[in-house]
Amino acid sequence: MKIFNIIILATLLLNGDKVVAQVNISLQSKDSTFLVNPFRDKVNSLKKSVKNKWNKAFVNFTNNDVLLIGAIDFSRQIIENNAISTMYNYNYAVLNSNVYKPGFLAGFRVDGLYKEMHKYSFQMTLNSINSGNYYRARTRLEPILGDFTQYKVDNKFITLNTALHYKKSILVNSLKYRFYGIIGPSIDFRISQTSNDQLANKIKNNLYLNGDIGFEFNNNDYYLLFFHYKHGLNVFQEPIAIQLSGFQLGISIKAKDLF
Amino acid sequence: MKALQIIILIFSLAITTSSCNKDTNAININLTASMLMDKTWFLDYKQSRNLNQTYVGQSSYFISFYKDNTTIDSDGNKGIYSILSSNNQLQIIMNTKTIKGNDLDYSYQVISVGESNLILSFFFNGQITKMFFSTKK
Repeated sequence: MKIFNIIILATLLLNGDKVVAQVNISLQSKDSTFLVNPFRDKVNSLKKSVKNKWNKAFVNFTNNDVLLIGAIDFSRQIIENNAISTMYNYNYAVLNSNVYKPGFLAGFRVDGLYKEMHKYSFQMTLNSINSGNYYRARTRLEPILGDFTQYKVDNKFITLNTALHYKKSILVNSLKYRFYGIIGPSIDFRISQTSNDQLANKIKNNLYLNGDIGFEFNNNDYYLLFFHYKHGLNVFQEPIAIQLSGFQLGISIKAKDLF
Repeated sequence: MKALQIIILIFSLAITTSSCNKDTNAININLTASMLMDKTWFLDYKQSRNLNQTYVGQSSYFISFYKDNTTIDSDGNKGIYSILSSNNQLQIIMNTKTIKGNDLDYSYQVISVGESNLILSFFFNGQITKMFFSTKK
């Protein structure tokens, strides 16, 4: 019986330590909530003001849904010669490929309503581009060198694409299925490293402006299939104009359905 | 309107941060070296004011450039080479020794360089000679 009492006493003592520790922790956490913490207060007030400003700025953008995107992307670059002369020669037959080559993209988009009337989508994606390069100009130095170009443009790179599309419903006699036509601008901002071949010829071309047009099919909000054509516009032309065009064929699913 | 201002601000920041300057001379040297090195270049044509010679299909002069900056040519001249770039012009400086051990220092001006074609020129006795090399034997 004595042994039993000793075991109970020892158990109580051990648990007693834990209880004291827990009381101390809870007191500490309570103390910290009442203590003055200027950094935390500053962060909180900054968060509040950003949230207020954000809500005020985008007050007209309502019914927003976040969708995740995955797509295959077929791209081609048309490279114009602006009569630049360099000290490099590249075999034209090896570099030139006037075709659309497949890459892929992933990201998110926000679909919503502007002023309760106009459907829009704002899209941000990371595009892994693998494009066919069509060089419009070639040089010959007979009979020594055959066709060659004096510059080489990268055909594999990664861009951050931002697009703002206006969506218009195409009337179809169905409650389940909805079709949309889309139109709007997009910008590809190159984020991957530029090769020495491009840098040596001072071909920067980090920004590509596009005009987008396409169709979207919404299956009862389960998923959205889209086909977009991006037509590259030659806005940034120094020293060589590069027109990056492509097709995107992909699927979007609401983020809240997945997570 | 505020939304538009925010979008413009984001794009302006993206454009500003994208512009950067890199040393063009260093890039030119690296690119030229990558095209030139670990290859043997065979002389196909030689052009000067009075001379226009072809060596295609014949055994002719050749020169090799290696990764460790050594070079050897078909005349047996051995030594080191270095690539210089200034004002968008490239030069190959050759510091070699002949078979007999005499110093032979000279330089080539790079007219055009590629993965399989190389055009060099040099100035000798008041006239410029262009040499057209290829990697095909």
